[in-house]
Amino acid sequence: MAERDKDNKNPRRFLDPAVLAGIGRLELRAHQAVEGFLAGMHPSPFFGHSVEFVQHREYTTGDDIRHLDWKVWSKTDRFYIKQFEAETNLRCTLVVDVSESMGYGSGPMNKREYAATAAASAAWLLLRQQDAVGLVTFDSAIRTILPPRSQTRHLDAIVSGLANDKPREKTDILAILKQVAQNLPTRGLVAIFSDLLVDREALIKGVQMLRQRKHEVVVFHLMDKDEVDFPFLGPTRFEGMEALPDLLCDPAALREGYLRELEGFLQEVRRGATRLGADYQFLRTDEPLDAVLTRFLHEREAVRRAGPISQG
Amino acid sequence: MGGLLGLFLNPWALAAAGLLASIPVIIHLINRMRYRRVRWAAMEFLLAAQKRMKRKMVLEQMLLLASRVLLVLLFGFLLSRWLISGTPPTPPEDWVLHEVVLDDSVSMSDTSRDGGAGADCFALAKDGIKTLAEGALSSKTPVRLRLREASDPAKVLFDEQIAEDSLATLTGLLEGLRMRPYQVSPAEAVEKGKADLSAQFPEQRTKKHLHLFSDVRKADWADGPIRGWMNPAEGIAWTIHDCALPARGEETRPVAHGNLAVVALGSESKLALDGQPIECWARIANHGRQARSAFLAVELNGKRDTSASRQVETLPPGQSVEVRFPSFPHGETPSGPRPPRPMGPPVNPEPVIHSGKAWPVERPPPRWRCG
Repeated sequence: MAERDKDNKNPRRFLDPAVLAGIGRLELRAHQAVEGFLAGMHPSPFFGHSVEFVQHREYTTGDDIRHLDWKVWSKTDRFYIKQFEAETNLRCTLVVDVSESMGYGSGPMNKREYAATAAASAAWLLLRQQDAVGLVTFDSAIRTILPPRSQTRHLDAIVSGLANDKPREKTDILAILKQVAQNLPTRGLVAIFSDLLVDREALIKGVQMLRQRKHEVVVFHLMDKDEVDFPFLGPTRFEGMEALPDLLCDPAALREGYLRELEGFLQEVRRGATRLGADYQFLRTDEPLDAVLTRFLHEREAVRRAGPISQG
Repeated sequence: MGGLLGLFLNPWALAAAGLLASIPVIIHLINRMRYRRVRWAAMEFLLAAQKRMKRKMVLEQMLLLASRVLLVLLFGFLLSRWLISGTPPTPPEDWVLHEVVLDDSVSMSDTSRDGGAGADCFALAKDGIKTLAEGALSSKTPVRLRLREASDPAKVLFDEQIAEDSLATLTGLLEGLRMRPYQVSPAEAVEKGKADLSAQFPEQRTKKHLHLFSDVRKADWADGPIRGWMNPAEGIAWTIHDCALPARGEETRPVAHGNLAVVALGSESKLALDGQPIECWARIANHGRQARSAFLAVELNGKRDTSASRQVETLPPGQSVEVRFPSFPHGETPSGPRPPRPMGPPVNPEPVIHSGKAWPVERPPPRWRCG
């Protein structure tokens, strides 16, 4: 018993070897240009020193003369600067919902633990790529904030940050995303892990705010299998989380209406995210996380090879 | 409500059915108290679904509850009519309804004229009603009896299905009934009973009987309204229980043989010689509307006299015919040697004694019976 409690308190439990082994051969690449602070594997909006030539530009005062294309000068007697594509590292911010509703779970992992494991695995993958990873956990306000770092030891800080937060109050996603957008000065990747049981309008507005600041947004929408299938039978009192009222009912009689409402909600969220250019990924907590993340990374890679969605 | 309960063989079982019918409601309430708790995150969808489906759910629940209650009630009805009593269920068409009118006129105080001792007509009528009810009790067909007095036609004194307890009620009620000190015609009560019978249970298989317990006075019978009641209404049987005292003998009862009647009977002579027949006659009338054939059977001193009986081949309607036949007032013609006749005028009016046997010269007329 004590051993199990000790395991439950160990933050590194979110780094599941099976999951990490599954995604270890894959890369998480930005679809759009990001602004990093190191040379990396992601496209940058700036010109740099890679081998990929982009364009010539006429010399202006102040330009470094080391970039002058002397061959063009010899032929045209004009000074031109030769510009190359720059590649930089990715600044990814993991935004994890730790509100009370994330504490629901019918399987071995509740939604919060599932989200923490997914976020920790993504952080491990990104740090392995020399990318910078930051963490924001929130409910009604931001509970933990870790700025993006690219050191490997930053992973411990991230998993500790994920482990420290217990499910608490209701979600206020608009204020959180607004705050996140304001605190991220350069364009990067924002990965949101949440059950999105929030006001849809506020969610769309928050994602839109991030997109307007040129961030690439990935929404991981987590739901428990009970929330998706609603398998309850017999008289049941549903006690609402996050200040919602209780309801005593016959679940079998309500199932049809519940599933119809849920389907409408999922469609609305998916369409809203897609319309704003955000990447949407639905996760069921009873599905193996390594399989889900592997499929997600493969799909992103396929889309990246097909061509960038948006240059921001 | 009493009338409704009276329709059942076991009203207590019906009450038990009412209690049983509350079981689904109790189960429903218990289920509402026994539930499991679930801390639920996606409450907004559940609330929205409940709001959307509230009316449908309430309707479904009410229908379910109503059908369960109805099922239990029907089961209770079945029990109350059949299972407990062991009597097979009887369709309502097989009911027998008795509408009884009791003549409580002052004339019902007549007794058997033996100095006023013994029962009067009214007691005889009450006994008749009680006998009728007791007979109904042994019947497998449910019988309902309704009683009213001639003096108060609008008031129904008793209206219940005949059972052990209701029979006791009826007996007690009859004991408390008294005659009126004035003359009352039963006509209005009979008309009222007839109308009520016609109005109730119009099913053809329901048997309806109208009974009048009365002394049937001449004023009511011969010239009164009873003659008009002989064909009271479609589907209603009609019985007059003659409670007159002293009881009307056979001689006083009207003889009817399909509208044929012997309206007169006589002989040509009231004197007859010993062994000689006298000529007798009978007038037979046909009161019907069709021509009839008639057979006049003659009995003399209780023995059929076949030689005197006559056949009338055709008797037209509304006509009468006189039939003549010989008869031996002394009975059969004596066999063996006839005693010698007295010679000369009789000196002694006393009967002549011969061989130990009296042979009167003149005898009273025989008791004729023709039919």
